[in-house]
Amino acid sequence: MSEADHLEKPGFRPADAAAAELQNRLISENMRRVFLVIYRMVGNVADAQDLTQEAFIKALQRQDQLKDPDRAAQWLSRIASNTAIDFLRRQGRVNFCEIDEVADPLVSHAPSPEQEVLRGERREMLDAGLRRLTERERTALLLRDVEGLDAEEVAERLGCSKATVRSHIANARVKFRQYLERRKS
Amino acid sequence: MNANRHPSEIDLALYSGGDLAWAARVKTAAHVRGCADCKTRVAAYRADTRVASTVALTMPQSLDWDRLADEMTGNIRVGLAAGECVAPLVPKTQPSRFGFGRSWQQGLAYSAIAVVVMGAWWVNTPAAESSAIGRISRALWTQTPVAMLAEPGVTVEASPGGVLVKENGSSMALTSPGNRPVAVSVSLQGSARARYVDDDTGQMTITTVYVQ
Repeated sequence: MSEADHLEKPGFRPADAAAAELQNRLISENMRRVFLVIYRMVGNVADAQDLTQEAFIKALQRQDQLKDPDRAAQWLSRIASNTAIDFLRRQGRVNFCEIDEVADPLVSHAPSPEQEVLRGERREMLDAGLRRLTERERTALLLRDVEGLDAEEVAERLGCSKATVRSHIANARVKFRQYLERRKS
Repeated sequence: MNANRHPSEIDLALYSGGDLAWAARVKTAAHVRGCADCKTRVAAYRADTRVASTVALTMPQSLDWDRLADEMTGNIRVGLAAGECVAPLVPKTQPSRFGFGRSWQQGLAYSAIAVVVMGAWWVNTPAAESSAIGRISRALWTQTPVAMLAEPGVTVEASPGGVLVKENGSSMALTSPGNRPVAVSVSLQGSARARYVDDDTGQMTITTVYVQ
């Protein structure tokens, strides 16, 4: 959609053309990443779609709070991950401050590694490795290793202690490693 | 090195991402430098982190991203348009028709202008009137009857009870018993006025005292 189309939308009147252009750029450059991070956190496309839209609407309505356009990706990412975390909390699906046991991480209702080998897709296999993590472990791992936040920032977003976040991150890495080793063997 | 002294898997996993606390990091680093097994484990964890990041940011195969992106973009625009519709008619930051934004600076400027105008008016008001205004202001502030010093020794006071003239310790009150006071006032020109209304007949009585 061109900028002109955007401006002609009934009822939509950005303050000026520069703001409209910035909106278009924010959407086109960041939507894929924002969607994927949210999708990995909530685990299904329908919720990820709703939350991605919600995150962008929230962000663009507060566009004037973005002081440094060069940091737009981080700013959007923060809004997106907070939106997903709030959703998981509202759903009562996860308490980020509880710690999972790292022992026997491969006990799962998901298909066994042998069944997945038969599917033959490496990417699917790796994807399954992430899905085996609990939501709190996966969220902590995504914020730390994909979003690049340090443990203190992750703790702030999840509303729990740094020690708890370290446990989530460590458990996630160990479980993922064990999963891959078992697949190799 | 004794295997029992290897760092735990948890510590190695945290060390690989730089997430160990300072003291534990130094200790683990010292061990890893001299232990091939642990060095391999740390390298594996680091590789896993790269793999996990790549996987996390890879679109699921079954998803038609282009269609989904178009749909989400459209929905976002509709959401923004809906937000515009329900937004306040005059945004907080919109400039007024006088060219000023609504801000504390504007409020301060208006206050300063008001102080200057009031000061100029006060300075140009005759002393007697200024004095009367002062008394009236105090009376209003303290909720007491409005009184005015007509000349030395003579005071005219207007209250809901009526108009009272005091002179040399004597006083004369003009009242209207049984009637409801509507308004009482004093003027700067030297008069006091009380208006009453009879609730039964609706008749209005006006008492005015002029001081000369």
